[in-house]
Amino acid sequence: MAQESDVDLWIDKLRRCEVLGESSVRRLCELAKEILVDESNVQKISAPVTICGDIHGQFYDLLELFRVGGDCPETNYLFLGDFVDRGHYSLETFLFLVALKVRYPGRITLIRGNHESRQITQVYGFYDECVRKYGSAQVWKYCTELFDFLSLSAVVDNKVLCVHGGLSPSVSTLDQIRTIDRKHEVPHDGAMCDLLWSDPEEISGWGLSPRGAGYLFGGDVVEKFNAQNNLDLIARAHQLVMEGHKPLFDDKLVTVWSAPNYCYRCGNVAAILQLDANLNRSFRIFQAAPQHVRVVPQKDPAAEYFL
Amino acid sequence: MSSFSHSGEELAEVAVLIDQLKDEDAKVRVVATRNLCKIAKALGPIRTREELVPFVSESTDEGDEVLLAMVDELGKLPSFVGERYAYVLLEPIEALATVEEASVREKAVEAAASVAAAIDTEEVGRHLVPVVRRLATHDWFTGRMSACGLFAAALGRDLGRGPRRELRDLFGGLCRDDTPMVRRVAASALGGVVKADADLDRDRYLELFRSLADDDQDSVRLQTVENCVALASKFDERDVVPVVLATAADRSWRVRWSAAEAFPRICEACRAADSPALRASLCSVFVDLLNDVEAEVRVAAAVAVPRVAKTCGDDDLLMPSIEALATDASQQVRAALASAVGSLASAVGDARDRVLPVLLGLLRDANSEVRLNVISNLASVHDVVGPDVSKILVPAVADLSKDAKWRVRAAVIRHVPVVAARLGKLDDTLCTSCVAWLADDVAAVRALATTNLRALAKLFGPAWTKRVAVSRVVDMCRHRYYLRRVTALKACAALADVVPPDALRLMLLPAVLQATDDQVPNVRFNAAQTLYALALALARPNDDLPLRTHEDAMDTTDEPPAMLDIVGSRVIPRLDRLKAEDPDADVRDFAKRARDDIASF
Repeated sequence: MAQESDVDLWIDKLRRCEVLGESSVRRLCELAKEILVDESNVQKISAPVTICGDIHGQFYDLLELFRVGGDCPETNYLFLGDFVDRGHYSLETFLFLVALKVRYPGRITLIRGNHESRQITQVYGFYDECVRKYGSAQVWKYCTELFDFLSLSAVVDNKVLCVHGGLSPSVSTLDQIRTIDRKHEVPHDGAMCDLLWSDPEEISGWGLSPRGAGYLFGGDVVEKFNAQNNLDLIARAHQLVMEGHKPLFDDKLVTVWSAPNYCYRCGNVAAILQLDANLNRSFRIFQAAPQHVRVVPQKDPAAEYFL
Repeated sequence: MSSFSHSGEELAEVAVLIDQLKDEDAKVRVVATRNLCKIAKALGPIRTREELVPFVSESTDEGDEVLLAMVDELGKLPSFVGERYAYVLLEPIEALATVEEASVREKAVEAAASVAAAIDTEEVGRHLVPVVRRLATHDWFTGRMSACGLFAAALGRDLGRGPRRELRDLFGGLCRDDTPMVRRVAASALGGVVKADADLDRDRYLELFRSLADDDQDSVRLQTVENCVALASKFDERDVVPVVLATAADRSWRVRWSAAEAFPRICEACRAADSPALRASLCSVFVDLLNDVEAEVRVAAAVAVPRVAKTCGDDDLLMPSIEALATDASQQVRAALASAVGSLASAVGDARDRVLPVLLGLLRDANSEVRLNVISNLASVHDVVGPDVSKILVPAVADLSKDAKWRVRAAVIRHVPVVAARLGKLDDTLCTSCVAWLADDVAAVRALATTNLRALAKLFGPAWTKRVAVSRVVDMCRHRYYLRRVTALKACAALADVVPPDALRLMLLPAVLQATDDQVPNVRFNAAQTLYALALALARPNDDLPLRTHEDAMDTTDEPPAMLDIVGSRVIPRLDRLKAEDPDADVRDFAKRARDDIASF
């Protein structure tokens, strides 16, 4: 890769929570697209791997995650989406992960969450953050175009299905996921939407989701899906759990949540799920990064001036 | 003129800057203003004072950003306006000293002080004193606040009696100003003024000092303590001490906190050590601070304990309060005492025996931060505990290293090399722990454990390293969990140049070579990186190894094998194979880097 040294520079810069110039973001997103375009909707990865849930722009907590779980590339990572929105540093968080992906495509996998969407990011903060940091929406456009290339799910050693939200009534086999045309905005309904929006619930069969998108699905649905696809486990994120992780349906599904003290006030701990080479599971719990390793968000002097 | 010495290009640049000073865009003006010195240098001194300074004086109705840049540059301009002409800068600075934005005013006072220092003595009365006068009698409190900061600069100069008396009167007026903000700044300037005023009018200043110490605003009284320190070194301490005693009993806890915080410096400034009566009264006041109702005050007092004990301590008076702090309800107080308790031993002299139980109590504290603070101040803990230190410390270190909070584990591991250096040796339990920490669940702790092991290996020498660490690390290279194997490989790299040559050759190298066949790519590329570290150590001349003990000398007597050959016969071929054949791109990449790095040495 000719631009390897550039990518290393970007990684260093982003690790310090500094934003990249607009043209660097464009190049980074183009490089990432070239990699992501070849990934399957059900990206195959091998154990060992560490699975992480929602991050939501909590950049300093992402650094804490890496302190606990190990740096990339030493540790293999799979992120289950929702990199952006709500936190103060959506841009730095997403670009940092993308830069790692570009530099070590075999060591880190990023899949799409329901917040990796044009519509949602305009409501929950990512759009505003980009405009505030760059004075225009151009960088937001580069990022949202890249969102369309993110894979929808991953499967570890053919045994653990990893997806942001959950299952869909229109999907009963992994092959059906593989046939989805994913390279566009998240639709309002259908298989692609459900994978990113659904939630497990102690019900039987399918239920209406209070979120207005996706479905609720019960233990029997998971049981049947896992049996039919020869899976042991579904690992998903999407829902805040105070303990960081929560098993459901006789350990056939687990929710992993990786944003400690969500929105800087929920008081929850976060977790990552470490799968070893034999798919044995262990969770690492961590708390929000303490104040002394954070930098207080700064007001942008340029913006102040032109108000 | 000096501007002729500049190249055409530089002049063109300066011409652009001058234009930009008048640009419509405020951002551009900020940048141009930050270059005032550059412009002044190009214009030369005459044009600077006849054109640039008047221009700047007329531009003081600017935005705060520009003003900040301007005031910064003005402070640096004296050397560009020509000798004896520094005073011309006072005009724009005076204007800036009265603006609404506090940060600009503060900088203006600083700039004025540096300009004042550059003014010739005979010009002080003509140019500086009128500025101080105008500011001190300014209608707005902003100007009067700024004036407070200029008296020290003016009174430090050789003034006539008239101007000196006038300045003192003006300053006295500001100390009694109607606006509390002005009195606060005057109070904080008092110490500097007393120091600067060569021809001291003692009673006058004492009166100001007492009236400020008695102010009804606590923000004004907050400055009292610093003034005590300043005044005590110039006046008779008997005039100052009553004020100190009153401050320590102030109704505002912030004021009492400031007294506790500054107490050691007060004791030293009052030369308390020389007078038994003074010691007794200061010490009893300090005991009150140790027993204050506010935890913040007790924290500050706990931090001050060792220094106060040294200068004016009465052990019988102090120790009961110190013992009480060790079981204080606030963990911040106990943590502060824990940091101070080590150095207390040498300060209290006869009461040493009473410090040890306090220290042991803190080492058993329920809060891990408290225990950690005791250990973090290890050098002095040694003085308290004496030769039995390891018996007491080692269990505490072992205990903290299992703390549920990983930052506590990390902090204690960071202190282990200091403990070890102090003790001269580590007992077996702690040695085992040092290796066991490599298996921590948290990556950051594992990384620290690796650094720690290397530090200990350097401290205790190759034979120790071989005996304590090498076989355990080698075993860990075969751990069933890949992150443990990766850590073990990093430890191999960290130890490569501190183990005896035979251990390097016969233990580390085989383990790392084996790891290049690991099924997990992460382990293989870490093995490639570690091979580079081993190659570096192998290629090093044998006599480079630090010989630390007799045991080490025995070890190296075995015939020096051709270590460099091993690099050629075993390391390089393996890296070449990984580089060419490994299925994983990162492994090939890291192997190639390691290979290239070896080729370059």
